[in-house]
Amino acid sequence: MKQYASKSVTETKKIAKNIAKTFKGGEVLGLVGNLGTGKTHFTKGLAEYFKIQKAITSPTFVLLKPYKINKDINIKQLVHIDCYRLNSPEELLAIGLNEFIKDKRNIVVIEWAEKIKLVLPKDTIWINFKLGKKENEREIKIK
Amino acid sequence: MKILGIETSCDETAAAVLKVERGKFNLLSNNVSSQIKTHAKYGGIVPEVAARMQIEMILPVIQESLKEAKTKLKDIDYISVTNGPGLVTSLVVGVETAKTLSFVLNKPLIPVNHLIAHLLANHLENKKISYPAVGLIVSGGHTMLVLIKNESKYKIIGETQDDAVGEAFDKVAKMLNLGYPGGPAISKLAINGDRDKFKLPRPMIQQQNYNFSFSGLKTAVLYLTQNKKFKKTKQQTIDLCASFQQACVDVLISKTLRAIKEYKPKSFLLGGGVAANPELRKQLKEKINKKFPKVKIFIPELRFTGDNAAMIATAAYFKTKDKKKIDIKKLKANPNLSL
Repeated sequence: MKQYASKSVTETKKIAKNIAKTFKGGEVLGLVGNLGTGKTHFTKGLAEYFKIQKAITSPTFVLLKPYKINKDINIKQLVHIDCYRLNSPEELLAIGLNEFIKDKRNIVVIEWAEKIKLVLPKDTIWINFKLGKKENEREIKIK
Repeated sequence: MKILGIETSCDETAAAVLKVERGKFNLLSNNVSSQIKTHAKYGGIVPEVAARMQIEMILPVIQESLKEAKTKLKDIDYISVTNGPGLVTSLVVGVETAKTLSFVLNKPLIPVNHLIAHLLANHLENKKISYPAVGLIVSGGHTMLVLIKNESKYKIIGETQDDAVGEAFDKVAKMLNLGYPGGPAISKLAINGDRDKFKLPRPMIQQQNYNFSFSGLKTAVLYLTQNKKFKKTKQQTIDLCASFQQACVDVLISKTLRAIKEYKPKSFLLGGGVAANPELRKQLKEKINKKFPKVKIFIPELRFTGDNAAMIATAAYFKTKDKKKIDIKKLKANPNLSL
């Protein structure tokens, strides 16, 4: 397990970029943490690493937003999922969660992933976000 | 001409029958599943999954709309449906239903972009809208400024870079335990609150563009609620609601004024669920009137602010003149449809 203390949004993004470097494709990231703890900023950091031009906007409303990756690597798509509105995994399974996860060309990032823990693969990378002692600080734990 | 409108982009199942004669709109019926009387009869227990509810509700809602409009299915001239953006599982229900109706009845199908429909809903009141116009769409899933050349030509000039404004209302309401949907809960409490009580940021207000950001504002509210000085008393809660709402309104108005200044439109159109917010409606009108008295302001009636099918049929009307016929076999729901 790795633990980070991020002091700013920029640092949170940097932590994300460092993790993204190790990706080979097919990774599933489960982001866990309350509102405003940096889950979306972390995802924005991943997107910056993969040089995605489009703004990463909250997928709360539509549940899932796919972003094409045009970098010359095996990873072709960043799939951003938000379970905030979900009560059960059913709806995500209906829109093809398993297909997105199985495709090794995808990186699947799931906010509020604890809500659908049961249907996520065993090797899901779990990342916990918490507010730190000071206002802009965040504790980020990677399992 | 009679147009059947179908809308299932998110949690609501909606249908409407719109009659258009010599360019005048006459709305014969407009039903949303959560409101119609048949709900109990057909819906029973509301299921967790929006899409499943859509499937149960879609036919009763269409039937109710036809009945109210005293119109038979065979007398409908066009079938129109939202094909995006939205929740894919929900969109599919409307799109597939519309395709089936179109095929069986042999009537043309018109797919409609949900976003532009929110703005074109302003035509339902039959007031003359002159173009070009600047449009502001504010809802749970979207926050954007649109430049509208005419009813079928438009482009996004700015949009949120993170959360939608309606989403920020919902999430702040959740932090304050105010229930769902958060928008009406916050605006109701805000009436008696002091909007200057808490200093909250106005994200991106100084930036020379038309983009928005609401995620930082949400986090600022989170910090406030976690501060020891914040005791969650009734007065503090209503003051925080008023302060938060004003921060949102300020940013929305400031960017709208910037767009009007730059593009010099003849009209301004508001649309989307958050267009129901009384302070936003009031202050937008006041500010635009004051700074740009020549710009005509169009704000939809409350019943046309949230998701509804009347706006879909209205937007479809402007596409009836298109010569290109839609191949129903190829039409698909597109959850990420852009303007």
